[in-house]
Amino acid sequence: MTEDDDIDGLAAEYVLGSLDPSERVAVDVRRRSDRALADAIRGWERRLGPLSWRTPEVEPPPHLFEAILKKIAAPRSAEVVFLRRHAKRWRGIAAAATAIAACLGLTVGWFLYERIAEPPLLVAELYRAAGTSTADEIMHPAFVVSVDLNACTITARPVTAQPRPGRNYQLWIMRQGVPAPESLGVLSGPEPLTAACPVPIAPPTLLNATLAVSQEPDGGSTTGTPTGPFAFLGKLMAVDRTAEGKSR
Amino acid sequence: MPLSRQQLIEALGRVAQGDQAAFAAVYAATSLKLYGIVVRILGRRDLADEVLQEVYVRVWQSAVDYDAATSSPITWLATIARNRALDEAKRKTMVSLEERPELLQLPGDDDPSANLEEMEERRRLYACLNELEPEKKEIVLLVYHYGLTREEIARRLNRPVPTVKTWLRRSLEQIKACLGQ
Repeated sequence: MTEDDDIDGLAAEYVLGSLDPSERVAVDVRRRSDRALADAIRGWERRLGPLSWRTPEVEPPPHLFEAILKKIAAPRSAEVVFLRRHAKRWRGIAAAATAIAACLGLTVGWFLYERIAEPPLLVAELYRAAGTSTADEIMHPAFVVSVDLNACTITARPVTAQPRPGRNYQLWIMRQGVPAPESLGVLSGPEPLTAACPVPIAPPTLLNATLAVSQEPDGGSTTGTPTGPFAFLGKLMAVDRTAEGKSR
Repeated sequence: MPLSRQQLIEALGRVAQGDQAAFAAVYAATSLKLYGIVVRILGRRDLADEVLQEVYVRVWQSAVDYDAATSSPITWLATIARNRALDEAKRKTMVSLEERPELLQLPGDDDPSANLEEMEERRRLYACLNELEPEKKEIVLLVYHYGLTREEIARRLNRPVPTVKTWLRRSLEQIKACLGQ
């Protein structure tokens, strides 16, 4: 993870935009559990914010708003909004309640989530995070990872990633509230890797989770953590199954 | 259509309640600015189109989290746009600054929609930027507007990466001390 004790400097560079991709993802993960870092980031967003106020305006294509409306009108988006609104209320209730009451609220909330939300399909495209991308790698992801919450499986398929002799690709997931990357398995060839969802399974912690691939010796990392920088990175996003079906 | 800061705050409050008309008003008032931000970071319109859509879907979903007491509405929106564009840019593109030198200019104080408080915040930040050595100020602006990494800056200036990191951190410390917050 980010070995940087200068939290304010790290937050400043994160907001400025100078971190390389793996550092940026590491900060994204760390800020979820590191209150000091999260506060420092907010401070820098406030300090540097005025720089963006006067960015030259550019007119977006006229069809974009219609496309956005379609996306927010999709049932799944509506569910997410519904959940977020209620999650905020639950947070407020939990803050004022005892730990037991908070746990109860979470249980009720989770029950409600399961009742109203069909488990979504989550997909991440992983692109090269460090080094120079080939033309093919710019056009296409190195790996595509999908999470089927019905089957509770995570599948990673190499797309442009090429096997390297003596090295394996190892897939990791970084979830909100989980400080360290969790290994999902090793890809040793062109075949897809299918892994069980991390336990306990909780879709809200998978949404926007970051997936990463490191290069490891044969058999994968023996330390339980990546032995080098992440080579490929991507974020899990919910996919509208209906739209996906229509596009095929 | 421009909205004042207060109108934008109120519109975001209605978006948080699921009001699509308010969402359309927020889009009309801010999409040119946010598209400007993502186009500049990404340098590619096709990517910017995708990212802008994701930004506004995020705005729709997250408006409930916006707190007017902790940030101005345009800073909150611009942060969502910058973060999404930076995530995308880090793995896709490198912008040719030589083609667009005008983007390095600090803009003037002529935004009619800015209120006095915003204009004062901006004036103070620019005054602090102008206290940096010219090369350091340019680096800070290059990174902010284009999301260049330390490695990219180092290559551009033919300097070691640790030197660039030191410059950036010291410049940012200096800005913080100058702003006094």
